[in-house]
Amino acid sequence: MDITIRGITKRFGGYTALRGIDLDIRSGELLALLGPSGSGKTTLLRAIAGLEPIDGGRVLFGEVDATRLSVQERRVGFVFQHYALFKHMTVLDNVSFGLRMRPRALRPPRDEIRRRALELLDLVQLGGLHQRYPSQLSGGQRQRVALARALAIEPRVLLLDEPFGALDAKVRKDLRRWLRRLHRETGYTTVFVTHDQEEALELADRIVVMNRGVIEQVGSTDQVYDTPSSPFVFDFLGSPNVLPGEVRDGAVYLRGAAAPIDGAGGLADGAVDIYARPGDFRVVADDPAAVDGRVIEAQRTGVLVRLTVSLRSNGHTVEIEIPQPDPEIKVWSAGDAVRLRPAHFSLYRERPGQALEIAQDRSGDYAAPGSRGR
Amino acid sequence: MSRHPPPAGPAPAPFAPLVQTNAAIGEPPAVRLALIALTLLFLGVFLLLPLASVFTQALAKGFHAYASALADPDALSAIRLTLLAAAVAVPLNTVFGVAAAWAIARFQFRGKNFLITLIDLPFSVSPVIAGLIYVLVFGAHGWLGPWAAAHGIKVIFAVPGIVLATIFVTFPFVARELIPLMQSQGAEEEYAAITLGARGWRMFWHVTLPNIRWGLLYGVLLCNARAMGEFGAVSVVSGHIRGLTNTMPLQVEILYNDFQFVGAFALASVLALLAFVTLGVKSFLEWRHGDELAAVRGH
Repeated sequence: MDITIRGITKRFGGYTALRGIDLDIRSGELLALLGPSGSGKTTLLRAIAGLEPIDGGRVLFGEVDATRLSVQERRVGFVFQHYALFKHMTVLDNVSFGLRMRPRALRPPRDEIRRRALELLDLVQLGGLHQRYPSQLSGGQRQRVALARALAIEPRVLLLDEPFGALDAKVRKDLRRWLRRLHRETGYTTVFVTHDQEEALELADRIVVMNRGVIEQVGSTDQVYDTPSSPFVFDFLGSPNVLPGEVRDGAVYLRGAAAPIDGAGGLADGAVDIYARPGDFRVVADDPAAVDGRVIEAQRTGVLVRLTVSLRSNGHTVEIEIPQPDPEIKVWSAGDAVRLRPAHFSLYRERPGQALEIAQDRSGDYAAPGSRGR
Repeated sequence: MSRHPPPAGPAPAPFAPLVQTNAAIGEPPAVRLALIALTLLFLGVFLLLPLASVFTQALAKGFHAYASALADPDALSAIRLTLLAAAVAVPLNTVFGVAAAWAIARFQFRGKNFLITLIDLPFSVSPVIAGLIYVLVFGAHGWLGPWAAAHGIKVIFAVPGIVLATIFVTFPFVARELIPLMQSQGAEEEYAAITLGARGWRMFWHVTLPNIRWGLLYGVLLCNARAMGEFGAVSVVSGHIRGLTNTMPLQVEILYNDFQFVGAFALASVLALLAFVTLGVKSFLEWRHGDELAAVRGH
């Protein structure tokens, strides 16, 4: 079911949690709401479910205005961060709850309810545990009971609030893969909230990056990762290095370099920030577009070498990761001189004299021509 | 790898678990013994001894005297009145307590703290004042007294006054027990229930009530104990009409002041027995639903 969100605003007292959110959720997709705490992502999820009354805007389920529907009528499957399983009920009673609560006319017969609940427990690989109480299950198992319970009502949309937040790393990885497969098999439109960029990238079809109550960027995982629309998005999806650069004569130069690394693509002359991830740097022998630096620290991490390099132009340090070429070949050590240039990068420009108010006026503060590869 | 024999005695074996005894964090045996002895002594002197004396005094002149003291019409009337007051006050305060706890734990509204203070009021004012309030309101010269008299309603020195005073004095118990419980449990399970389609009443019945039932039970038991044992407030509004407006505690005092010790202690023993029944019901329910309780608490 397509979900259309238009201009949702939510205030808590004097604090604005959502500032006019517009979003289209496509039927059958797996969408991640990604952002730091306080970005409004959970509030948005709860607003879709109807658990959070909104101050303005509308939510449409297909053609139906869900804003007029009660939580019960919206029929959304909501999985809470701490599962919110009914502690006093067995796993089976938890899963069958939604069906048992239906009005008598719509309620399937007892045997049918039981059969469907058991089927769902098989689907979430908990067959045989139906007589347990939630307290007798592990965190990962509780998570799956919560999911089965939400699926039992055949929801219009499945909403997951930090679904793996309370689990340890190993279980989290397994569950991610499993959820991805479950989504493929069942095809439910699914929206999940996370603050973990890796989780969002690994699991989602599309990612919505949120910050301070607004959407910074919406796009496929590739779009969001490769062409972050703002320094915030870039920062949130990986630890960026910021290099000083400038635009002159229609080309982008690293500061101190003789040759441009890229065309300006319509950018006006002046200083520009060049954002690049650690893995996007290349150490080059002789390249006029590259800049000089000195290795402060070299650390081998498996197949990669992580170098901390101090730039000659401004003394700032950058962290770069490059493949270990060959065990036989000597690699870098502290004190070595290196020349490097970013192979992939994004350009952002701060308007002079303005504070970095990304959330409030992001379009004005930054000219964001997007990111270009070499 | 060689096998180590299990550590024998208190000697620290090389592979003994780190927390084998709690000697490191516990108290020395002498202190422990002293604490236990002190507790037992205190309980014995202030609880068991008086309780035992109630029963010995009641049975001092044999079982026959005890039975006939209880069969006295005034005594029976006092028992009936006490049970009636409790039977009205406890259900009303249960409903009120759940409603108040629900409002306070689940909603944000202005004046919430004031409401909490109001709920505590019966705890903080003397029961005698509570009784006087009703005399001032419903007495012959009170605000509503003449109106009530004109309509043939007798409140003060009658059963309605006793019931009202009992309700007033016992109304914080259930709410006080439930508010912190519901606040700490949060509303997540209720949210889950409504997303799954449960409407208000069914959500309450299937999710809220099972989660609070033990707190509710404690609150109801405390409320009941106080309702049956209340003296001060009831004493002010009762008028001490024998066979009509005397509850058990009042009757006990009257008999005692008349030097009818067997009668006084016999009735007191019934009050004590009612307390035992209350405790017994509670223990039985805990035993009966022990595993469920453990499942809920262990979460």
